[in-house]
Amino acid sequence: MSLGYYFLLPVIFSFLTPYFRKLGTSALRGSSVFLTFILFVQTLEYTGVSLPQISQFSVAPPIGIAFVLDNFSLLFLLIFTFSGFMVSLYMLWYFKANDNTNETRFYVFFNMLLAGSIGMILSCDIFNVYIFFEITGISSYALAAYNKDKLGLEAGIKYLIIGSIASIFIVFAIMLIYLQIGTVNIGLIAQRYSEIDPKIAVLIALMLFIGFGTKAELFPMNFWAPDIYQGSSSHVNGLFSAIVAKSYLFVFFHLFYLFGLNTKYTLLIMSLGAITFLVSEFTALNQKDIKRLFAYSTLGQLGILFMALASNSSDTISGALFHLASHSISKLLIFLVLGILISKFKSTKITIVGDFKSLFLSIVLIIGFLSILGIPPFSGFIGKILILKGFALSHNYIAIAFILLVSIVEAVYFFRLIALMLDKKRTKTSVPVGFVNYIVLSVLAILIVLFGVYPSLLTHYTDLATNALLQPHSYLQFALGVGL
Amino acid sequence: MNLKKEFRLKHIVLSLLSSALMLSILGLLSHVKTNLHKTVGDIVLSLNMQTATANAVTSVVTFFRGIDTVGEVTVLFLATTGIALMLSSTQRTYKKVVHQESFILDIGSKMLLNVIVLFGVYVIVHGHLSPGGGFQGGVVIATAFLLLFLANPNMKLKHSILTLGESLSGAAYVLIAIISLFKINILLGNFLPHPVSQIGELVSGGIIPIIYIIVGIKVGSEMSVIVEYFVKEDYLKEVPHA
Repeated sequence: MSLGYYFLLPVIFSFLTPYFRKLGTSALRGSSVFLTFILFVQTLEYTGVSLPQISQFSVAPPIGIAFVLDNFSLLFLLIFTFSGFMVSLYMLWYFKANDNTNETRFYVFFNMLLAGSIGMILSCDIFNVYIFFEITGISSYALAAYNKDKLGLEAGIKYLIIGSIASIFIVFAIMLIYLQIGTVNIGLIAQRYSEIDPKIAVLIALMLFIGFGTKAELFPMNFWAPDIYQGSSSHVNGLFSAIVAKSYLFVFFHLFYLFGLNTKYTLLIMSLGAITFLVSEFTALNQKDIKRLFAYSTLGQLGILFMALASNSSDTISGALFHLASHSISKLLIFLVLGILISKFKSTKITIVGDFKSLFLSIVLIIGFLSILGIPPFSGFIGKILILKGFALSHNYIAIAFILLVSIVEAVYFFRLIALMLDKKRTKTSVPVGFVNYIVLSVLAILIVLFGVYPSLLTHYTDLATNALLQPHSYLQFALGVGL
Repeated sequence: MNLKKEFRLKHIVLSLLSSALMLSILGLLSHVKTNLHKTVGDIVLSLNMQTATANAVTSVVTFFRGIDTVGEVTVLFLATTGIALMLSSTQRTYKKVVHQESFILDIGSKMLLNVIVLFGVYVIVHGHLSPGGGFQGGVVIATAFLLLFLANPNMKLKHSILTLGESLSGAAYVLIAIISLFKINILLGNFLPHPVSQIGELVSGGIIPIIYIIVGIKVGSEMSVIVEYFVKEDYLKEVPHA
């Protein structure tokens, strides 16, 4: 299958949603499950193929645009298509149990959110990346405001304004790049980036940093994120945390290493990541609202990822990618469980939501919590220990001490939550789970345990991805159209 | 009074810092090269003859950067869906406007409608020959419907037809891309014959005019939907309580 289908199939499904709706709600929901399933199976097939792979549109690059899949993007593609498939299954239950007046429009945005994020990681043309950036952005603004209540509208308008400002910076950077080099192909830009006047190069790096850093929720620019998470539905939060934030993170570090910015700005990005981690975890301590709490927790984990991915050492980056995959799965699990609880209790207060009675939900939720916290035998533990090992190998003991100390703060609020859930003195209400949710949540929980017990299942891919990121020679050749 | 309260030292510091940032960026911009040769733009211009399209901008939009245009069309589609999501609601009720029938306004707007739509179609169909094309022509067609709304606020568009135009034209665009993959093994390639000798004729350029017509239908129907939602907002009875 040509790589172009990753974008074209969701587009055609989105355009035809009004007609799926006319066939009935089950056709509408089924179409999305079918679409995400095809994409996921196709991605699994790519794990056995020699990479990079290329597929061109119209004209061969560097003049035209092409999609290039290398081992680094394959890891993200696996995470995105898997999370998309899980959420589309979950939505079979969600729209049955909740208000579904605008369901058709929700599916349009869901499909395009997935297509935009995938396009961003596959395209080898920086202006094309910008187009996908906009597609992902507009879909996520609409999804944030989907509930149309006070908080939802606030989230939507806030996200719209912040996102538009971020995209202005990116357009400005692309314009400067075109003025200096005369091309928008990522391969050619990477080759000639060192020829740019150093002053302008700093400006371009700054613009890209502000644009993608804002969207990837890095410290000075992440003030908006908790409001967005609070205002939108819980499974939308899962999408934001598992797919959207990760796709911006991908572009951020892809350009960071391809343009050779890692030689100059490693320390800056690492310290900003550390501040993100510190500030978010301490703010999370005081939260009364469960969605805000996990928004801050997501920011904190992204902080660790920024610290580790910017570190320039292959062991740390490999660990960070493991942690990234594990975090996506665990956060998706947590947010989906929260969605079930919130739709029952109609509240997001921790003290109300915590009073549920369901053995299954308690078990999977605790698995998710312990995985994020980094307790064995769950995947989060392996992710964190690999990052710490990488820092130890590069003799960065300050980072190790920092991560371990701040993790204590994290432990405080997670164990407080668990204690609240297991408190037998409180009056508990039983919560219906729904058949399809048993499958979705069990699959996610089993994966967390599986990667924790057999980390080699995932480390194989993260090692390949790290090599592709640090030695991008073959990617750059393909981006220039060599493989055609 | 509130103004005085919100005016604090931190605002002064922030505005000073941001103006310093803007000034330093302006200083840096003087180093930007502006006389670059052999850019990808120049290469595309020299290759334009091969597409047999008289308008180079059109061949860039629909052919050289075709997938960008699929993306742009999708962005417009998402924007329309987003506006529909925000502004359509069962809770919203609209005032029935007392419409004073004016014979001249009624006949005049209906006569102008045909002329404007015809002009829009002309702009779309000649997109590969003269300035203009699907996006511009589509917006021209939407202005015809805006005129109808101004003349008669109680008018309603047939949403089933608009949805049909919107969905099928979008799907047709993607289908062309996929058919091209089977015909010449390239997504969105120009698989129809496009001999250079036909340059400047109405039927020339292979798939390029077809794509622009599809884009025109899509943009026209989507802009009309947007116009309808915004015009109707004027006649909202009361804001529903959230």
